[in-house]
Amino acid sequence: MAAKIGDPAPNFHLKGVDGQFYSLESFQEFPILVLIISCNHCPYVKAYEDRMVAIQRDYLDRGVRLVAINPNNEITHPEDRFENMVIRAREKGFNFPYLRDEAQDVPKALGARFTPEVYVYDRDRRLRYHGGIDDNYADPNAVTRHWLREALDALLEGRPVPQEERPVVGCTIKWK
Amino acid sequence: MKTPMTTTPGKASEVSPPEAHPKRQSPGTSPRALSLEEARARVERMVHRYVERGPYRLYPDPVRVEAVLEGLARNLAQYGRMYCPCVPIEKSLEAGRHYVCPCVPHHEDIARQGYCDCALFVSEDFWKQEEERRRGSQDR
Repeated sequence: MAAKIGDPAPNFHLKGVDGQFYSLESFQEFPILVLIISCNHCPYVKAYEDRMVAIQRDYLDRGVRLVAINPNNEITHPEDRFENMVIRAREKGFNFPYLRDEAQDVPKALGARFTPEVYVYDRDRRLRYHGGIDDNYADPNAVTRHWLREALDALLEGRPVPQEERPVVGCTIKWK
Repeated sequence: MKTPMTTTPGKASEVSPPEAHPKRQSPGTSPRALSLEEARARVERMVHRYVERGPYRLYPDPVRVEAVLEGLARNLAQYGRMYCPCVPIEKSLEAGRHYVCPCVPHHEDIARQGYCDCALFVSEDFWKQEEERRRGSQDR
């Protein structure tokens, strides 16, 4: 069942590329939590990685924490193995936790289907935005609507999110 | 059954794939490079005919369909074949016909989860479920 606006965030206990384990409680100091179902191999994710780093850089001091979660089947997609996540995070300079969800529990709880797929939670960990990062995966210079940034700005300024659900463009999650 | 195709928004004439890669000509492809517009027309023709033939439908989200069509067109224009945009291009280039749309695994993927790896083609059952879900969320 797909997560609906207002639904609570799923809890998790997942290993990050830094070797630490993270749960929802790990981020309780952040008013806004952004879960991004992500992975290593997907060309759409690769197109967005720099933008994810930029968004985290721009919003960290404003109380926003991005967390990327990779749930893909590593047997069919060995590029998504944990050791490759460590390498990718280092090479791209990820400034956010990048977690491995081998049991695929988080996307199942959310009804997620694609990578990257974004879920933004408020201080009460209620879903306030679900969808894509922006309207142009192929060309960051041709983006006309920065959906995730718009949602974050609205939440931080105490305004309603302009559109709480946006289309998701990406690869399908590789289920076991 | 005909399904309306969406048009390409934004910069239709530019090809800027997520990763730069030397262009390789695959066997059986046209020697003349296609423009993005030409590639897009071919992709739409192929997808349209494939859906008309059945038994699959297009994913019931026009934004998703548009993104996949655009990705297929970019790969056709750059690499000479309609490689799946959801597969790293290096993998596609090594695998011959395997990831040329409609890809070899798509029947198995649709049988297992209702949609192909790109979620471009879906089963009739999946399409109906999605339509019901969409109607249900609109009624709220």
